[in-house]
Amino acid sequence: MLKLNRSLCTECQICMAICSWTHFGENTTKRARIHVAADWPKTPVIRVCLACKDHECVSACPHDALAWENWIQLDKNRCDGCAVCVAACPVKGIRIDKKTGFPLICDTCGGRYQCVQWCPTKAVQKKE
Amino acid sequence: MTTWHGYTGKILDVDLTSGNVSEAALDRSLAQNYMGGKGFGAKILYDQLPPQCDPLSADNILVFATGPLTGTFAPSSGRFEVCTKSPATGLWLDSNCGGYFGPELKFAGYDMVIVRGKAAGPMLLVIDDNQFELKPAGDLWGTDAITTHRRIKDTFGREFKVACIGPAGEKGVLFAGIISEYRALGRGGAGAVMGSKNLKAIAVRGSGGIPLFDSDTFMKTCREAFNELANSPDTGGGRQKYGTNVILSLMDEVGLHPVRNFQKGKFDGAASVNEEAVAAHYVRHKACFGCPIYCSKIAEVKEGKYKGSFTEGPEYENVWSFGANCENVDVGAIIQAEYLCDYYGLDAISAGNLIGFLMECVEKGLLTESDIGFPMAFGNDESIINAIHRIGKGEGAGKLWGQGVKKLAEQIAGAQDLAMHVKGLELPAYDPRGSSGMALAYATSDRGGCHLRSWPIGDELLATEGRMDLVSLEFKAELVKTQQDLFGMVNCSGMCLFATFAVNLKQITPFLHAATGLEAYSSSEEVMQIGERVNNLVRLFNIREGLTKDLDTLPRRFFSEPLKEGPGRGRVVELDQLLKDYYMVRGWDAAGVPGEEKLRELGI
Repeated sequence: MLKLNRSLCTECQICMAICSWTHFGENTTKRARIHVAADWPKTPVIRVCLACKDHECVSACPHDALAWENWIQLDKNRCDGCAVCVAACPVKGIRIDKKTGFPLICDTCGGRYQCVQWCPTKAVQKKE
Repeated sequence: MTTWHGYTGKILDVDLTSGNVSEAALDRSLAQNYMGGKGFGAKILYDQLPPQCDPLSADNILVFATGPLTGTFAPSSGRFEVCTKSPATGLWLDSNCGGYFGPELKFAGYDMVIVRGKAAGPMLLVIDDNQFELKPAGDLWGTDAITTHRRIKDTFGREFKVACIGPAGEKGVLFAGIISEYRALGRGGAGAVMGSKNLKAIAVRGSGGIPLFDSDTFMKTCREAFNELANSPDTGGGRQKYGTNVILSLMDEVGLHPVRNFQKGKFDGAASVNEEAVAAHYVRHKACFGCPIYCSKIAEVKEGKYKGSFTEGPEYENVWSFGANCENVDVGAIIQAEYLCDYYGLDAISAGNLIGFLMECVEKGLLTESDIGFPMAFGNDESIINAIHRIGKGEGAGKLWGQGVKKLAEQIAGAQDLAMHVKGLELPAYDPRGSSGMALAYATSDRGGCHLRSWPIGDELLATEGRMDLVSLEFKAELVKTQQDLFGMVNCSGMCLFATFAVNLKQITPFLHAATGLEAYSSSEEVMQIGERVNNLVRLFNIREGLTKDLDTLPRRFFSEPLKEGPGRGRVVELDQLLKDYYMVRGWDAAGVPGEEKLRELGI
């Protein structure tokens, strides 16, 4: 899972670009599971699933579409895009993909951690 | 229908006079021959601008253009260009900016926005994916550029990216810039053109992506390019730590750091305003879209008279313009001055250059303090701050100063030799007496006094075996010509010039080809030829607008007053031979006009 040091974040959005690329093969920042919320000149806030112990999104989901197994797993057959999980997430780490309507939740790229690999400043790191 | 890669294939054409905004297809031959950015602007202005038009009239055209790499994963590719006819020079102007606006425009589905005509009242153009609308913006008129950003984001959404003018652009200050995401398209008065059209801002949000032609090659080249950037001592070291100020002490050491409006080349107070002194104010690093260099900084003043002031920056050029050029050693004042330039929407190079000019006019007795309205002297930080407020508000003598040094000097007896500009654009932070390459670069820059068409100083300092040095004349024409064509091409591509300090054609060519699939980008020779084509077309544009060989020159001071410091000590600029060589290397005639053969070769 990820740990964040937002004071190192430069707002370059490389994490968002590589995340969208890795999951959808699309050159954009708009389908990322990690989001840099900028509010110039303040230090940005990085929003992403931090794999909290309570898995509040899992218990909040009215359709049993979410489950925890290494990361939050989404059952697309059950999800209807209601976004209850988005509101339930205590770290605002979930966003809805505009193209599919499904929630975007960090899956660590299946353990390959592409945002960690590409972040130029180590603002995003792997939590051991 | 054509399938596009790298490009979105669509443009927006905005006629402010009629209020009509329409979508059009991108022309494939325009993309093949002129790539994007500066190239798009050059072709459109050359073909469509009425010759000799008044830059501040409804006839002028303002082109916001991205390149094929803008918004892609290629490193440092968040750039876009604004091209127009400059009200400061009456000639070509393109201004380049990073931040996030260019990528957002591509994500919304547009390569370019062409703005024509003049609205009856203040307007705001809102682009939200494929929805676009001109909205009345009377409530934003008169608002500073920083607050304008905030209010647009509060009203329409945080994800909207903005390019707007401040009060200086509204009032027609000839060095007013466009402010975009707290960065600036500063030079040459594009802000005044936008203001003359009554266009306060463009706000854009997009949810799409950019299809790539060959994503495997593209991503492989990305890995290579990110690696080059990280391993370079510049882009992966000094520039990250100090920002653009990384070269400050070196420039001072070699006597290229202009002091007192270019009276000297070495600053006695340099220790107080060098890269270490400026870096002590940095609170965090900041990057443009997709850039691992993060040369931008947020700086804050923690103590002293300017406590609480902050800015994004300050950049090397402005540390010079408000520092050494005005003989000011207070970094706090520099930070406050740069903030105020963003606030009013002013070019901070021209503003600092102009204030240095005013200081010298007072020093030489050509102006008095009653002409100015407050104390104006080298070394006085308050002179700088007061002057920016007057210019930004158009108050008192500030109204006259807003014309820039060239036009202002024409109205002050004996002041013309003190006006440090080329073709009407105020000079930046390098003394051309100490670098013959820079002298030629300034004299031949298509937008006037500029360091970003060619920056030969690095090569002059680092040339092996003494093949050239700062003051030698040999090979400078070739160096400047090649750099101008490279930089010209990079300003078409959407990549940042700073990335090219580590990433070269070995990566840029495959990036362009893998992104777009266009034949025109299959070899580095063809890619470089686009830069040369664009620069030649811009030369033709400038000649049509009245440029003659006589204007390919420098202020008199550089021919008559020898430099006192550095390797160039005792020297003045010897331009004649440099220019003769340059025209020859360019394939231009002795009057600086592109020859038939060259134009045929370039397909113009």
